[in-house]
Amino acid sequence: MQTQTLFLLLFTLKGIRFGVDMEGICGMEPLSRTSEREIPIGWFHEVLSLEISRSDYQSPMVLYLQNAKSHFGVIIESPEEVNRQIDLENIRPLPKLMEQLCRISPVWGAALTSGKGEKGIVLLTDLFRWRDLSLKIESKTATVAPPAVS
Amino acid sequence: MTEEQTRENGDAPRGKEKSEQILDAVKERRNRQRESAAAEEKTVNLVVFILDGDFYGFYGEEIKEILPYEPVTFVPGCPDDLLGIINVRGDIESVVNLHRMMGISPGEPTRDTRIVIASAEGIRSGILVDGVEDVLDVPQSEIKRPLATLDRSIREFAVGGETLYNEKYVTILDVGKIFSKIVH
Repeated sequence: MQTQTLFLLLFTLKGIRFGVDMEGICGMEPLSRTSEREIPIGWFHEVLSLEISRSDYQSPMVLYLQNAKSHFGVIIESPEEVNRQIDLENIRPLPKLMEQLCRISPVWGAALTSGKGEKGIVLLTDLFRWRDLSLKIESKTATVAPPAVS
Repeated sequence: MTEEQTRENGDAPRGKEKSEQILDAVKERRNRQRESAAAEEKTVNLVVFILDGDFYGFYGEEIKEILPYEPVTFVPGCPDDLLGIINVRGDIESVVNLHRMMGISPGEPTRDTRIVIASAEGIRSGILVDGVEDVLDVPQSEIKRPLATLDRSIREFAVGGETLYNEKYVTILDVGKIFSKIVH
């Protein structure tokens, strides 16, 4: 049976709203409380080349993801919504001029949202593709203890 | 019965008289001249817009709609020549950063800023401009070759035509060339 809805975790960074499929997320905790784990953890913005710094995160959280191939953590801004239901009819592919980007980017589409006090675009982001990209660009997602946050 | 007799009897003549034949020929010639003049006066529809105080034009057939400015959602990793995406009545459209492509410094959006939705080469996208000045029909004969002094970064996208609008030069840009540069 085809999926008719997508359940998303939503967070905002630098004014951009990102949505991550809840499937594959196996845990979440504040970065400040993260214990040293033997799994790679990386900052979300560093792989996407977003021009912000780690200090721009107001309340960083570590999102843990796991599938048959990998187990890793991504540091994101504190989610504004969890389990947000999005109908497939509100999901759009990225425009043709961005098609080349779609092949390599973790951002694979856009969801149109409209609700109480909100009307806008959510960038749909595949964190497993994010992980692949982070490995390709040899980012700092090697096994490290999470940086201390005061 | 002769033709003269027929006319005297009030009947219609069988064939056209010489005068009628001459008038027909004159009418035909005039029609041909009018058609020829109309062909000479073929017009092109232009959307005249402003970038950094200068006038530019797109062919009207390539422009689908003109929208007021709205904030553009940046997509991480997208080509530098794109500003991001917008939602146009439920469709997601990219927005081209024409200022950057033509080496013009972008200003802050104003109430005149517009997003022009264009389509060419099977691609549809918005293009951010500082304002849309007019939509007009220009006789093709009034479109001249662009100035030799035209900046190289602008010439790259010029169709090969320029015309005058309010005594200022309007450089006509090729939407297809703009899109091709981004794709390749």
